[in-house]
Amino acid sequence: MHSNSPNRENLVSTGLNLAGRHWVKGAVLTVLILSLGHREAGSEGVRLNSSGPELVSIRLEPEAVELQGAGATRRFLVLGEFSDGLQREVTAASRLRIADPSTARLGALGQVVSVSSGRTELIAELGGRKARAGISTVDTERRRPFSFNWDIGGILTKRGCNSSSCHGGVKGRGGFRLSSDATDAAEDYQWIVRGGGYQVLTAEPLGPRHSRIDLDRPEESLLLQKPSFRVAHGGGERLGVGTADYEAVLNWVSRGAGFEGNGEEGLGVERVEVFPSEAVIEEKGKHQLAVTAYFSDGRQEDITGQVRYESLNEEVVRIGEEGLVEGVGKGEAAVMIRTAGRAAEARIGVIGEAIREYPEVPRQNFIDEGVFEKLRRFHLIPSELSGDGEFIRRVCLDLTGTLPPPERVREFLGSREEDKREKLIEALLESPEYVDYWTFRFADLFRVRGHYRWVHVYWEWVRRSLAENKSYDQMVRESIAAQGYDGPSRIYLIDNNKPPALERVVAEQFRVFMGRRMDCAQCHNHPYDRWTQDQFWGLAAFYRRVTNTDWAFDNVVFDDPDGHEVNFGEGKSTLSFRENRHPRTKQLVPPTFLDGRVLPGRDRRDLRRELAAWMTTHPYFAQATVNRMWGHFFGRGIVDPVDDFRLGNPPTHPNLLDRLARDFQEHGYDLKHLMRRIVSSRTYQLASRPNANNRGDRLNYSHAYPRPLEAEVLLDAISTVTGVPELYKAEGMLSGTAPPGTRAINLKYPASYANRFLEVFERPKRDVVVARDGKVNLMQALHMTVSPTYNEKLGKEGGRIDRLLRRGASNREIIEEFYLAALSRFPNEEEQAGLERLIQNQSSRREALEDLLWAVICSREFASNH
Amino acid sequence: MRLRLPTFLVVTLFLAASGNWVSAKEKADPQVNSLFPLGGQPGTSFEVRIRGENLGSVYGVWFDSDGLAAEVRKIEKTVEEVDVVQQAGTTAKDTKEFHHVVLKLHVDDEAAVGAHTLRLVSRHGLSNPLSLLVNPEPQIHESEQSINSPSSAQPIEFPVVVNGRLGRPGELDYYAFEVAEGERLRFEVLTSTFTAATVAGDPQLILYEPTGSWFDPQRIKRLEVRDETGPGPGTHRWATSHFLPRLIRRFDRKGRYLAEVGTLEGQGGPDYSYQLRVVPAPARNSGVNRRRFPGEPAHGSSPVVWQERDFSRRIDRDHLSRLWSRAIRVSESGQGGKTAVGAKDAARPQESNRTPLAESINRSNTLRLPSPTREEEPNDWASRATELSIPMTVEGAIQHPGDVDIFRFKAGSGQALAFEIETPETLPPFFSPHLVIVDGTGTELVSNIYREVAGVGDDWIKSIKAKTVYTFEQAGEYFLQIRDLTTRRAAPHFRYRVLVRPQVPHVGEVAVKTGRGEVVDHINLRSGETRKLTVVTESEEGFDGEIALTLENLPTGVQALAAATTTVNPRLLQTGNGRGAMHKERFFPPRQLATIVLLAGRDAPATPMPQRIQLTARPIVDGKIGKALAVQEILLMICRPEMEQATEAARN
Repeated sequence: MHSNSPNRENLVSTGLNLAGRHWVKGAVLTVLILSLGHREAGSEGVRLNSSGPELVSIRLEPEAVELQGAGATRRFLVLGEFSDGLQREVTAASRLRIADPSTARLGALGQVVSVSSGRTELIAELGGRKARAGISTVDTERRRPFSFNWDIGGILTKRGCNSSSCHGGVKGRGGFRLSSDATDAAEDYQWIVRGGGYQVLTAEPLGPRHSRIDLDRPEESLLLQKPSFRVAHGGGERLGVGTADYEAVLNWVSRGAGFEGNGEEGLGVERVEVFPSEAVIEEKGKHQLAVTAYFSDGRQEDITGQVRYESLNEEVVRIGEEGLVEGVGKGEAAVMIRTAGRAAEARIGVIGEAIREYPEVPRQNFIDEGVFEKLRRFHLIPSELSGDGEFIRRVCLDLTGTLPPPERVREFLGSREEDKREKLIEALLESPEYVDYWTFRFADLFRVRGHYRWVHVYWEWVRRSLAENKSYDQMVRESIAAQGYDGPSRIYLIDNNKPPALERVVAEQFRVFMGRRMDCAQCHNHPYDRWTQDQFWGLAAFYRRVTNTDWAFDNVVFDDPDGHEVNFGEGKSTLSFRENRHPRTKQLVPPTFLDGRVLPGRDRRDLRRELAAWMTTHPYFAQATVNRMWGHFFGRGIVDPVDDFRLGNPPTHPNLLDRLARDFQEHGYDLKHLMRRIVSSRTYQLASRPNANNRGDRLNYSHAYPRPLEAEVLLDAISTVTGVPELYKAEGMLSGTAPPGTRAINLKYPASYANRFLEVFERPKRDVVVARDGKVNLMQALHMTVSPTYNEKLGKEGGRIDRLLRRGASNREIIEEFYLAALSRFPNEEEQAGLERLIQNQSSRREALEDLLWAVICSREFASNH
Repeated sequence: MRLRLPTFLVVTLFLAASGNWVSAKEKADPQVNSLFPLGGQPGTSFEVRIRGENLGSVYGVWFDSDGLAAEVRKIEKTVEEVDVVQQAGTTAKDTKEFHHVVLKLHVDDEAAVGAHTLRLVSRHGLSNPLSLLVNPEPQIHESEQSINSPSSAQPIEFPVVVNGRLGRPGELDYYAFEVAEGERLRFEVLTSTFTAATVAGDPQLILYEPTGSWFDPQRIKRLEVRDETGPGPGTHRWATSHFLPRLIRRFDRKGRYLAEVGTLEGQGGPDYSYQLRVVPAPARNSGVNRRRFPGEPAHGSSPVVWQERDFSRRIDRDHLSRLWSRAIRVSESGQGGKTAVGAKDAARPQESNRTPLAESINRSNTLRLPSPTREEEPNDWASRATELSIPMTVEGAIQHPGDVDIFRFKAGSGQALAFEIETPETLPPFFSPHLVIVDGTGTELVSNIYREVAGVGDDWIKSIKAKTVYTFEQAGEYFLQIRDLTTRRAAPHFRYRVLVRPQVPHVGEVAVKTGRGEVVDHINLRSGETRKLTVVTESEEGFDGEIALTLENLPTGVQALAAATTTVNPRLLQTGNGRGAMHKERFFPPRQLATIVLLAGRDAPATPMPQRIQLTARPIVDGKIGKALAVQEILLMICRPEMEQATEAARN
């Protein structure tokens, strides 16, 4: 290992000053030395420093482009492969040149601009390595037409003028409102050109209209004076006089402030892409992003310097205005890229040290491919496979909410069968406990609550659906489109026995089944996402007809073309029905899908069935479902929270999410198949104990993350381990008692039973979409100390301790039994010996055993699934 | 329609001079809560244990039908701890005295299958009713041993009726049975909930196979079944239907299975008696009426009082005759357009549009309806609508999702028609027939949906009604559409029977009711005591004559007298909810109240057994009085205080 540079120190400082950016953990200095000197490295290779990795090769990204139109641009990055397995972005350190400058020229760093039609190459050189990328330029006479949205909206987006914290907020700022990130160009144009103050609840402008541009004196346009701070502006200076963006806006006003240019058709931006969408850098390392806009006419444009960047975790990653990422601390963060009406994201992993020799990790299925590939790219080494004890407990709790009995644990631990895990998974999936547990879980999701008979029919529908392994899309269709007196129809009555408000049902069903939160769009275009009020009320229209008969409690849900009655006047003359009226425009909104497609009149016979069919075939549905299930098994969703898919909350494993969704869809939305797929993966079966390398990982499933047990499951577990079942007495008018031995997960509506434990451990009331955060509180700690659940059960006659003592079991046997029953493992020798000593030292053996069992059920190991 | 009070009474006006308005000694009245077993098989004798309060002086049993006899064998007293709901809504423990009357009961060979009414007779009077079920199947009792777990399930063979009891909250009873491969069985649970005020909730029935699970070899696994659970006879105390479980299962594998009986919410106690009935299931589409449970009244579904607004009432060819029997003809000749109906205006067809019915009414007071017309599919479009001549009954079924059956008929200008619906097999909420009348342009004129404002005035409620009336302004052709309220529910057993007929102004329901609107079915009166009875009368389809009332067949020493009253219970006059009611007149008849005082003279002899007294109504129109209608039968017992005191002394 050696350096090629005789005057390294000097060049280093020069390099720093010249480059001023773009570091790869300090060690890139050697590379800079080489590039500044334009030296061809010898075949012996290039090193970062004397002990650093060696540059093995470089390549250009993209490898080839076709630039269409006059002035078309594209950003190239030079990527270096190093001997430590890490890929580093070394564009600034490389020498770039165009083979034929008459065809294309170099612009900003790595940017190529078309000049005339033809073919040429971009050549990059670094440390003796060379890379080439093909460039063809066509239609170089064809100019891109002006677009208000793209050209002006893009500037407003880049400068943050239309961000949700400024004029893109719900009410705008200072009476001036723009659509968030220029998602509604036509409306933005009106507010700028025609003027007027924005009002949330009406489309009418506030006060007289005064244009925000001045065609006679363009420089005096408010649109320029404010952001250039020539007049007072709460947002400060955003558009300095003389900057390119300022000039562009000024030019637009001077030319008459048109919406589209040159009479040509509007410019369509098909997509915006960022490269890389995923990158790994070291702490203090840097990486340039390249952002490209793709137009409908085939044109590409480098917009790296024309977008707004935002790091979603600045403790991990910082990003500059020109798209240069810098690693701050170890971890993973997403970087959002926003431009007019479009957004993209890049995931950046920041690692401590690159791993030269990454171990081979066995893979069971595509889940492992997706997870382990990313772990490898992020230089994270997964933990070992979980032990049999850890696995049996985890999978039993996850699939059935039930602790494995000691004899089954013994049997499993002692088995030498190679496929014993697969066999166990199948046994669990076919067990009645599976139906019990998932009925409980889906009763939460579908919010089974209300009048006792409704709870019964609704719960029975959930139970039967799971017992028959009904395909999930069918289950959801039955729920969304429910009519009559059937179980799923009760969802439309659980709020005061009348149809829920349109806005509530839209927000809830979209969140539960599509994983997106549209709530904000009820009142205004969503400030942080793409949802608009039009979309929200377009979906609401599908529910407008929902109504019900009221006959004591035997209510029937149906769709009445008139809808549900809403006014409370006297007699027919005042009778009116629920309408689906846009709160701002006051216009009636027809049933409209998210993509703006209005349901044709001929298909409006059964609106909710149409909606259900659309929702369950939409890609969001499968995505949201697999993500929710993933969240159950791993403690966090690939998008987390599991029902919060949005631009600012991108998935950690987008490809895996897509693959899982596709697999779920291809297998008929079979929940058991999905669960089997997940729990069969090595990823799921990894040990929860982290290794030195992955200890800090909370995003990439390098080890299992312990998860707190749900209140009901925990209570059942305590009852099982102590051998003393809980008694549940219903509250309310019927005051029944659940049959002795009933488990908490078998209660149709747990919140209808008086139970202090379940309250303290935050069983949901199901009055809103259930989200169990599993956070520990002080009450729970106190409850462990003094509550009957944790104390009285221990010594109860007929309980586990009582039975063991009557049987004459030895202390060793009892300790072993406790461990097997509660933790699904044998105590290790140290535990065994220590606990035996502890019992022997107590005057009362029974009390000592009670204390021991109390300690076991209060332990974190017991209260979590790990 | 104006309301006039009080309704004309033919009984003598009674002035409340005596001031002897003693309140009913209800707390002393015998009250029965439950019986065990719930019933028996014809040709058998067995012991029945009845639990209730104030039963210390019981000496006899009253049945509503022949074929049943019983004698009192034993009366026991217990003091039991009970939960008492306090004002704050909390419960507190208290003690209460209960009696257990042991009867020896005999069911004749000829006794009708179904529910029979049983009451206990005591020196304090007559008890409330209980239903005793007579089933053709062999009967057994729940084992004396605990059968509360799958491992201790009681073996049974079918066909069988098991009489059991869920003795305490949360109790489950298990029964084990063996089946052959391919056997198809029907399982039902019947209860007496519909008559016992102390019982709440619905029974629950679940079938299992004892296959074990990976976690627990003893675990039983639930079987999926065809669930025909539905409304049973009677109603809950919350005026909602009483649901009884009925499960049908074909067993693909021979072997041992389990049936579990419980309640939906885990209620239980000494009054939770039930019958589990296990019989071979009829083949599919065997024509068995799905709606009928063995707990239906043994003597047909004849209600205590006149009923014309229940989907389960029978609309047969004599229906119109029955209606007409409650009306009165004004003129035999029909001159001046008076076509023999008791109304003076609205319901009268005009001369030019006289219908065949109007003509026929003039000819006779009775009218037998023609045989029902059966729908012929497809009839989902007006062009395929079957034509009806009025009056006519049509029968059909909503067989496939979205099925709409359309019929056409002609109505004259000003013609007042009534539309009545019966659902012979499947009742709401499972089948909710929606009837709409539209004109030739498709404009809806009337439907059987009634709306009113409810709750605290912040919501509309609507319900479907079994009868509606409408007067057509213009002569023309109209279309009757019938469908299920939903667009997707349908089945061969979603059968309907719709009668379209001219309105017949007639006397509707007439009944003695409590202040809560419940029909009074028995009265215990002490000698020297008076009892004020409130009679609620309903005038149907424009009947605006008078309704004269008499109480007949009174025991010796008892008089019924017309009475003045200073207060009128508005609740009894209320039909539907007042606010926002939409076309209330189409769905609810006007009501009037009358007050009758029953006076038992001080010398009135005790009645050893209850005596049936008859409330009789006579329509009066234009000075003409109609024939007497037996509108309600009430069981009356006269008790002698000295006999009660003697009984008390003997008890103490």
